[in-house]
Amino acid sequence: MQAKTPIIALVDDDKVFQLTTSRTIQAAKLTDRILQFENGEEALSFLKEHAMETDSLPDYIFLDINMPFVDGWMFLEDFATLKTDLQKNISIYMVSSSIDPKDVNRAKGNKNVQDYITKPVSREKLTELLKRAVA
Amino acid sequence: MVAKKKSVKRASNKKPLQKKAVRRVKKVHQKKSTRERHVDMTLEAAQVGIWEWYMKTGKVRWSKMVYKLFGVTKKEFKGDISSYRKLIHPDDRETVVQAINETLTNKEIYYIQHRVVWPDGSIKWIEASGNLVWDSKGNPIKLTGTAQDITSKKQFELEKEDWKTRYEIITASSGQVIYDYDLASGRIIWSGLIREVLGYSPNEMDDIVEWIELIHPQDREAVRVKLEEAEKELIVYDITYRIKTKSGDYLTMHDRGIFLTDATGKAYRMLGTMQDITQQQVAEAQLEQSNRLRESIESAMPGVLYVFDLKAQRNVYANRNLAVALGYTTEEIHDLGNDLVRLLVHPDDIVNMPGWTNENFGTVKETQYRMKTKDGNWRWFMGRDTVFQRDEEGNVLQIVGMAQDVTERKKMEEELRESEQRFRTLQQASFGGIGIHDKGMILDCNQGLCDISGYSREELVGSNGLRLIAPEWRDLVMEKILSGYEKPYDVEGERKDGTRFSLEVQAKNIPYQGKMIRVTEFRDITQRKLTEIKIKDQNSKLLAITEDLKRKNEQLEEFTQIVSHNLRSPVGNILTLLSFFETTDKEEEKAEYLSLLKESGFTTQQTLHELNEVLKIKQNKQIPRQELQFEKVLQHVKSMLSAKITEVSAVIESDFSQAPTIVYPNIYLESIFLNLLSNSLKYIHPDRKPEVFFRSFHSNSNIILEVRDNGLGINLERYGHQVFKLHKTFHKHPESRGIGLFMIKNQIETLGGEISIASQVDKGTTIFVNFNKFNVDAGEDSDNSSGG
Repeated sequence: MQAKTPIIALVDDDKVFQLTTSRTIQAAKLTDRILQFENGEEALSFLKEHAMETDSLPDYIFLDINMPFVDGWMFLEDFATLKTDLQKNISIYMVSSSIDPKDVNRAKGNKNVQDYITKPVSREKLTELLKRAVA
Repeated sequence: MVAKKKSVKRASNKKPLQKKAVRRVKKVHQKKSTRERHVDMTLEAAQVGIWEWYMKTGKVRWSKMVYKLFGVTKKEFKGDISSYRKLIHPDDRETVVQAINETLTNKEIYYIQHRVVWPDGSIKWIEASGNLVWDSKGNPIKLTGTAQDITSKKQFELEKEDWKTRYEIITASSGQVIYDYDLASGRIIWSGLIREVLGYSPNEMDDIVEWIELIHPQDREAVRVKLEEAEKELIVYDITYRIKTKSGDYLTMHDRGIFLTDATGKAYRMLGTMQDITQQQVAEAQLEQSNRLRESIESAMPGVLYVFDLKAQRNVYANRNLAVALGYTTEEIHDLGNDLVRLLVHPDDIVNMPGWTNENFGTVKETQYRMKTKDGNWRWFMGRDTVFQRDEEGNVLQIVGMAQDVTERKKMEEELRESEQRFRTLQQASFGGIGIHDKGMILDCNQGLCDISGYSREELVGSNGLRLIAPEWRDLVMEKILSGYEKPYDVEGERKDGTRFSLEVQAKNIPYQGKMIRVTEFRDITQRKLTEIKIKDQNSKLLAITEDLKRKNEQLEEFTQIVSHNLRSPVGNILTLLSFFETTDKEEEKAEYLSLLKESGFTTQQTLHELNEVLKIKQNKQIPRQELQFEKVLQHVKSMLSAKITEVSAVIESDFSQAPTIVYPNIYLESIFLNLLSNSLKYIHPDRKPEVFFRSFHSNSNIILEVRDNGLGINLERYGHQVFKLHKTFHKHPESRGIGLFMIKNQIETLGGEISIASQVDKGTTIFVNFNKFNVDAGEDSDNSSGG
C-alpha cells in the first residue's frame, strides 16, 4: 500500500464541493491523486472496472447523499455487495449538507461508512480529517 | 282279548327233540305203531284230535276227531291250509296265521285258541297246540299237534272276562290302577290302567320288590311307615307317593287300600287302588304360584292397590303399600276398618271425589286427594279407579284402583308454577320485549314487546310472532328457532304500522307449563345501530384524517429533506467559496470563485422559488375548479410541446370516453398533462418510435388518468423511492432537473389525489393519477391545522 500517496475519490454532483475539496487536498499536500465522480453510478462503474487494480482503486471515498440518478444511499447498497470483489479496503466518509438526524443516523448505522461529515466542510476540518484518515 | 296266545320260551334241548321228531315222521309215513294207535284212541276218547301240516306239500292231515271238532265231513275238508283257513272264524283267521308264522320264525311251540264256524253257523272254540318237526338239515318238515273243543270252558271264561272287563272299564274310567298283593308269595296281580298310567305290563310289576324300587326314594320311607301302621292296625291306608313310570318320569299316585287277614288275624293280602294325581298337584302348584305372583306383584308395585266398596264406603281390599305409604302397620290399617276413608282422607278431598253410578267396566276416573300419615302430615295421592263389580241393574258396587303418592310431584309442580309466576313478573318488569312462543306461536308476551312492535298484547298472544320480523328475515329466524340457537343476532323488525327497525333477538328454550317453549327477547337497537353507523363514520373520518396527517407528515419530512439538501447545500457552498475567495491571492482563482458564487446564489434563489411554488400549491387548496375536458387539455399541452413532438416524431393517442371530464383546477391539470407528456417525450427509447397513450376512466367513483409510454422505463426496485422527490433524476439526461414530478405530485396530493407509477426498464412507463383517492373533508380540517 502506498500510504504516502493515497487515492481519494469525491462522489458529488456539487461542482463547488468538488473544486473546493480538491483544492484543499492539494494545498495540504495530502495527495495529488483525486478521482472525481458526478454521481454514484459513475463511481460504482469505476470501482467495478478497476476492482483488481490496487493502484487505481481509491483509499478514501467522500460520498454525497443527494445526487441525481444513483444517490449516496444507493451507492452504499451496491458497494456492500461490490466490496468483496475489491482488492482494496476502502474507507467511506459520508459528506452531506443534510443535518436531518434521519440521514445522520442512517449513515452512521452503515458499517461501511467511517464517519458522517456535514457540509460545508472547512479547509481545517478537511485537513484534519484527511490527516487522521491517512495516518 | 278274544284269541289268547301264550308265548313260551323255546326248549333248550332243541337238537335231541329234532332227531326224535325226524324218526317219528318216518314211522308216521310208514305205519302207525300199536302204541300210537293207542294214543290215538286215548286222544279220541278224550275228544282230542290230531293234526299234521306238511309245509312242503301244503297237505293237512286230520284225525277223525279233528273233523268232528270242525264240524265238517271228510269231503268238506280238502286237506290243505286254505280250506282249513276257511273254517276258522273270520275274526280269528289273522290271529291263527300270525301264530303259525311266529311258530315258524321263532321255532316255538304252537299254541292257539280260536273259533271255528260250523256249516250250521254255530261257533265252537278250539284249542290247538303243536310242535315243529325238523329234517336232518334243520329245515321244518311239518307242524303237528292236537286240537280240542274248549267252547264250554271258554264260555265260562268269557263270562268271567266280562266281569273283569266291566270292572276294568270302571277303574279305567276313574283312572285307577287296582292291585292285589299276596304277602306270602310276594306276587302282585294288577288290573285297571297299569299300562296306561305307569307304562308297565302287569308282569313287569308282579313282584313287590319291583314295586318298591319304583317308588321315589324320598317317598319310600313314608310309604313304608304308613303301610306298616295300616298292616298292624288293620286300617285303611291312604298314601301319596311318587312312582317312576316306564318312560322315567315320576307320577304322583294317590294310593288307598286295606290289608286282609286270614283266620288267625294275620294279614295275607293287600288290596288297593291307586290314582294318578299329578295333574291335580300341578294345578295346585300353579294356583299356589299364581297366588305368590299376585302377592309379589302387590308388594313390588309402587302404588296402593285397593278394592273399594261404594255402599259400605270402605276398602274390601288394600295391599300393604297403603300402610307403608302412610306409615302404619298393616294391622293398624286393618283396625281402622270402615273409618279409614273418613279418618285418613282429607275432608275437602272426600267431597271432591268422583261419584259412581252405572259406569261400564273399563271406565277410569282419576282423583287427587290427600291422606294423613301416622305422624300427621298430609300426603297427596293420585288414584286411578275403575269398575270392579256391578249389580244386576249395572250399578257400580265396587271399584278397584291404584293410587300413587304424588306429593313430591305436586310440590315440584307448585314450585314450577311459582317460578313461572316469578318469570312472568320478571318479564313484565323488563324493558325489552319478551315473547314466549312455541315455534313462533306467541303464548305470552310482556308490555315491552307491545311497546316495541306497536301491537297490543291481545293481538300478539296466539298469533305468529314471525309477523314482528321483516319478511326477508323470517326464514333465518325460523331456522334459529328450530335449531335452538341461543346467541343474540340482528335482524330487521317490522312494526304494526309497517315501519321497520333494527332488532336484536336472543332466545332460549325453557320448559314452561310442561313443555319446551322458547323465550325470546326483542331489543330495539335502532339507536345502537345509529350510534354504530356514527362511530363507523367517525372512525373512517379519523382514519382519513390519520391518513392525511401521515401524508402531511411525509410532506413535512420532504421539506426537511429539501431544506437539508437543496437549500443548505448552495448556501453552504456560498460560505465555502467565500472563504476560498478570501484566502487566495490569485486573480484567476478569485474570478473563478466569484463565478461559482454567482451560480450558487442563482441555484439558491431557484430552489427558494420552487419551494415557494410548492408552498403556494399546498396553501392554495381553494383554488377555483371547473369542469374540464381531458381531450381539450391534452390538445392544449400537445400544442405547447409541438416542437418536441415533431422532433422525436412521437405518436400521441388518447381515449377519454369512459371519463371525459373532471372538475379540477385548470392550471393543475395542464401542469399534470404537461409534465407527464414532457417526461414521456424526454425519456424515449432510442430503438423505437415513441408512443404515448392517454386514457381516463372511473374506478370506485374515482377518476383515474393513465399515461402510458414505450420509453426507457425506470428500475422501480432501485429508484422507486425517489421518483416523485425534488431534484431527483434517474437518467443521465441533459434536461433532467427533477422538479416536474415533484411539483405535480404536490398538486395532486393537495387536492386529495394520488400519483403512482408502474414501469419496466426498456419497456416503458405508466403513470396513474387517481384524482380523488382521498377526497374527504379532512382536507378542510388540515387546512386549519397547517395554517396554525
